[in-house]
Amino acid sequence: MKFMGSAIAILRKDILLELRGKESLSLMLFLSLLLLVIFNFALDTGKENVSSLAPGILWVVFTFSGILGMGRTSMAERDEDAYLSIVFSPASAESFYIGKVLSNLLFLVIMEMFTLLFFAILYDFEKIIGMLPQLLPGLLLGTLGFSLVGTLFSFLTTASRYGEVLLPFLYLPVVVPIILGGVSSMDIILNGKAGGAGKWIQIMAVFDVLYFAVSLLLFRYIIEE
Amino acid sequence: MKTNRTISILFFLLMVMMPLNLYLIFKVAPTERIMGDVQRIFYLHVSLASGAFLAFTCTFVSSILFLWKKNLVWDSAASAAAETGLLFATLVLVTGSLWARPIWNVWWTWDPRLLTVLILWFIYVGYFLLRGGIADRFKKAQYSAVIGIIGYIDIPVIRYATKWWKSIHPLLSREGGGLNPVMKNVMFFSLATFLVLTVFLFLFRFRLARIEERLQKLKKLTED
Amino acid sequence: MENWGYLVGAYTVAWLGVSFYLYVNAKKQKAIEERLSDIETLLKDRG
Repeated sequence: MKFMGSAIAILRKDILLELRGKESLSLMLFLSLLLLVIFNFALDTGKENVSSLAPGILWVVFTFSGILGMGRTSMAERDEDAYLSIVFSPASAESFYIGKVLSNLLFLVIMEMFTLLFFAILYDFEKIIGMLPQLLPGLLLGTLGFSLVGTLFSFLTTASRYGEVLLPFLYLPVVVPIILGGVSSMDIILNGKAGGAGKWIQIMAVFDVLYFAVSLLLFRYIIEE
Repeated sequence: MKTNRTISILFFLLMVMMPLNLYLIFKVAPTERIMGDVQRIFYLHVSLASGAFLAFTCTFVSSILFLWKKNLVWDSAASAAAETGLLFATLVLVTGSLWARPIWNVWWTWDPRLLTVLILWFIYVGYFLLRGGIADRFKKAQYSAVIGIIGYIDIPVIRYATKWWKSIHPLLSREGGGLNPVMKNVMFFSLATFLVLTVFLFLFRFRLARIEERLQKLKKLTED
Repeated sequence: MENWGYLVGAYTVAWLGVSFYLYVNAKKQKAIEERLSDIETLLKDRG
C-alpha cells in the first residue's frame, strides 16, 4: 500500500502544481478550442454531417492536445531534476510512473470534457453531451491508453536533444489502435451503427493492460542513471 | 573474426540462391490466372515482409537482452537489425504499391497487413530519430531498447485492431486466388533466399556497428 | 505480358535499394577501417 501511497502522492503534487499555475491544462484547453475552430474551416460541417464527423474531429483534438500536455509533464520534472531524488529503488520508479500516468490521465480527461463542451457549443451539437454516459467507457479506456504510452514516451523524448518535439513521432504510430478504437466506438454509439462497440472497447482494454504491464516493467530503465 | 567468415559464406550462398530464385520466379512459377504476370511481385513482396518481421523480432530480443545484460553488443545487434528491418519495410511498402496499382488501380490500399507495416515503419523511423537525438552512448542504447520492445509488442494489437476495422469497412481484398503447389514451392524458396539475405545484411551491418564501437573506444584513448 | 513495367519496376527498386544500402555501408566500413588502422599505428608508436 505504501506503493500506491507514493503514486497518489505524486498525483497530488501534480494537481497542486497545476493549480499553482503550471499552465499545462490551460494550454491544452486553449489548443483544443483552437483546433475545433480550425476544423470548422477545414471541414464542411452542417447539421447533416456533424454527427458522423464528430468522432473523428474530437479524437484528433484529444490526441494533439494530449500530446501537448503530456510532453510538458516530463519536461517539468527534468528541469528541476526532481524525479532523480525520488527514485532510489525499483519500487519507487514504478510508483512514480503510476503517479504520473494518473495525473496525466486526470488532466487529459478534464481537457476532453471541456473539448466536448466546446464542441457542443461551436458545432451546435448538444447530443454529444447528452450521450456522455454511454461514451464514457470508450473515452476513459482510450484516454488511459494515451496516458500510459504518452507518459512513458514523454520521458524518453525529453532526454533527446529534440525534446518533447519528438513525442508525436514516437507516440502516434503506437497509439493507432486507441485512436481507431476511440473513433470507432464513439461513432458506433453516437450514430447508432450496427455491430456494437464491444469489440473496440475490448481492443482498447487489451491495449491498456498490455501497455500498463510493459511500461511498468520498462520505466525503471528510463529513470536509471 | 567468426563474423567475417559467416558473412562470406552467406554472400556466396546468396550468389547462388538469388539467381536461382529469380529463375524460379520468372521461368518456373506459372502465370497467375487472374492477375497475370504482375502477380510475380508477390514473391518479392512477401519475402521482404517476412525478412522485415524477422529483423524486427531480432531487434525486440536484442533490446530485452541489452536491458538485461547491459552489454552494448546487444544494442549494436538491435540497431543493426532495426536498420535491416526498416530497409525491408520500406521496400515492402514500395513493392506493395507497385503491385496494387496495376491490379486495383490504386497506389495504396488500407489493407491491414500493409497498414501494419506502415505503422511499424513509422515506429522504427522513430527508433532512429530517438537514437540520433541522444548523445550519451549508454542512454542511447537504453532508450532505444525501450522503443524496440514497445514498438514490437504493438504489432499484434495493431494487426487485430486494423483487421476488425477492415471487416467493418470492406476494402479491396488482397487475396487474388489461391496458390498452386508450384507457386507454393517457389514461395518457400524465395522465403529461404530472403532469409539468407536478411541474416547477411544484418551481420554486415552488425559488424560495421562493432568496428564503429571499437573506433570510438580508441578515439577516446587517443584523446586522453 | 501487360503491366510488365510494374513487375520489373518492383524488382529493380528492391535490388537497387539493397545494393545501395550495401554500397553505402561498405564505404562507411572502409572509412572506419582506415581510421582504425591510423589510430592503431598512432597508439603503437606512442608505446
